[in-house]
Amino acid sequence: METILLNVLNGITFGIMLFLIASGLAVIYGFMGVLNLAHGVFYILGAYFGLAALAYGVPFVWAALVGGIAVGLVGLVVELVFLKRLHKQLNEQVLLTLGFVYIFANLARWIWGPYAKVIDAPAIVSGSINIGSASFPVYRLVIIAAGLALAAGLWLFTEKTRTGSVIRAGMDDKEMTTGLGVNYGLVSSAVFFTGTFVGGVAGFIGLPIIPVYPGMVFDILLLALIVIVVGGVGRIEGTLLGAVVIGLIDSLGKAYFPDFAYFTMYLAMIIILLVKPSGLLGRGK
Amino acid sequence: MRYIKYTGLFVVAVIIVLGLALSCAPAAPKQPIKIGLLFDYSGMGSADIPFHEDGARLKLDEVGWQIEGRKIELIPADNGGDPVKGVEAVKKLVEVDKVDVIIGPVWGHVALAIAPVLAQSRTPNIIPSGQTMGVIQAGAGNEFLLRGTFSGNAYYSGVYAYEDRGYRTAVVMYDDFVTGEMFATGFTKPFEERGGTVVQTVKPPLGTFDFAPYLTGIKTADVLAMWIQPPELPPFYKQYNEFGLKMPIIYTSDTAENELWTAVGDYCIGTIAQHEYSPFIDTNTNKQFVELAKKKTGGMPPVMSFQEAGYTAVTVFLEAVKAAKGDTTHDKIIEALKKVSVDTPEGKISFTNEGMGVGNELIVKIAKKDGRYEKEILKTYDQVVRKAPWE
Repeated sequence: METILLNVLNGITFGIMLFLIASGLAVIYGFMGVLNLAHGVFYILGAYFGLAALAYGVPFVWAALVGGIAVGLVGLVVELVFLKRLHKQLNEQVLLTLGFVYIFANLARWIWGPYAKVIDAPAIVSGSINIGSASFPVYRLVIIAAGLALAAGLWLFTEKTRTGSVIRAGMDDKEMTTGLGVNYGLVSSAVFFTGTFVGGVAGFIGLPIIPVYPGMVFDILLLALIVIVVGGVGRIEGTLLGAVVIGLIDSLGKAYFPDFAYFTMYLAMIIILLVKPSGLLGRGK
Repeated sequence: MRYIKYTGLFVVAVIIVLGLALSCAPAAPKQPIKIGLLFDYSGMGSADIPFHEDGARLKLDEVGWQIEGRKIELIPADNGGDPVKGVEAVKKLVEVDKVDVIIGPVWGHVALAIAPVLAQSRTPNIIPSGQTMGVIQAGAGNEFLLRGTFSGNAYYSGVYAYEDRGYRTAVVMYDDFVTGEMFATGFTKPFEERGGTVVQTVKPPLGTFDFAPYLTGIKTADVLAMWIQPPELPPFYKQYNEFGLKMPIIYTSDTAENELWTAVGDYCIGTIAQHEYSPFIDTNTNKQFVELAKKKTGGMPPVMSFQEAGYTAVTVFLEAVKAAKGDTTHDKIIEALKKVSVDTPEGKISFTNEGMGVGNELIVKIAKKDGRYEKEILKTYDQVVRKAPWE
């Protein structure tokens, strides 16, 4: 019983980490229609910027914000200078953002080196709690709380605010939204900033669990894409559900069917998409 | 008639003079010896400094870039950690540059891809990192595995665990791909042959960063013998500690270096591992090498083991050139390499007839010295063939 509980907790933690990884991309792709393949690189840049702040003695939470804002600004430049001109041009977006992956990943290697970086959790949440005779790290519980808070915040923002309505309207029909007097350029820049900011923050707060190194950018991108496709494009609650389902299946699969560990995640994705091609909570066509 | 006679004499004289002149002309300058270096200068596996090349240059500086009256040229080529790029680079080195030897690569999949290409020309290939027997099998007697095989690089960790540490039970964990499996087998077989028991085998997929599902279900034994690829070490050690696990760890083959152990932090102190080199080898040759490397880098080089491997690979090749009296035709160098026996920073190095490296294998402990995580030597297995007995 104790082992089952631990495995479920591991699965939820991994699921929430997947949500943190994917949420930035989910916002940008789901609410702007921009397929930002540079998401993985924004994720690691957030971690690196946060680490740089941490090295200057900035406290953990503030370092996470510094990482997020710095990456958000980089994202803003990419959006304003390049992506703004490529609305609904998926092929061009893919090529452009793929180019940025190589540029930023090599810059990161040049500045911070090729080796993995990982940090300890802040002292206040660094211990473990006992579950029966086993231990479970407190920071993993913090990650669960942070992920749920982020999901709630993004959901409230996109579903319950006027700005959120404008974003969704712009996704459905940019011309009509602009015709109604909305400054959609500003809105899309704000969304891109938010998406990259969230990706950057996730990169930093995930550091006590997931190391960053320049070679991981495509792994992160792949995980994010799986979660978004499984959860359904355009709904934050879908991304959260997709992430937790994938996280649980993957962790429980590794614990109970270790020989299939390489593909439990992909198997789950295939089955879900066969049953529901638009994803668990996807809006469909 | 007289005219013809004198003309004939004149022609003979001209031939004799020309012949003499040609035979006395200075000999054409000897071709330089070309060493091809095939490493990861780009790609995700590349480091920020080309350590192997640095090591090679150290050795060439030492000999003044010439041997047996011939100058030496170094021709670096990038394999990008990719077999396709590796084959392209090798073809250029062999067909265009016409190199006398290729040193490298590091990656096993690149080494396997280029071996059949090199076999066609029988270009000598000295590989300064652990590989599989497949490389030798795919070659044509031209492959020389300086650091031996993966299983050989882990074999003595199993022997040491049982015989010297007295461990009787072990949990074995390895990245679930061929290299991980070979490192694991290298530990498991000698451990079990001596009476040890492996109570559990855990195989996370390559690239795992969240080890929680595995750590939750891990059994208790005298020791955890594991090999995961170096970038996975920092999260593994932290999570191992967070989940309250206390078993001592044997990293069956220490493929990590100070930079990565620094990312792990003090959790790694006390980890026991097998390796072929440590800067603390107490010989004059090694001390001189360490001083040279320090001078070049302005401090202790970050990946000392690669630097030493590059230095030693060139040392071995130059020794073969000396033995062949400067004749670098492939067959001569291959024969000379099979007979070479030379003192290097990692100890005496020679090769078996099939091209397997013979040298020392060390059991090391990760210890912190002057802020660096170094390999403290616990035991030396002298002059062993660097492969597992069953290979």
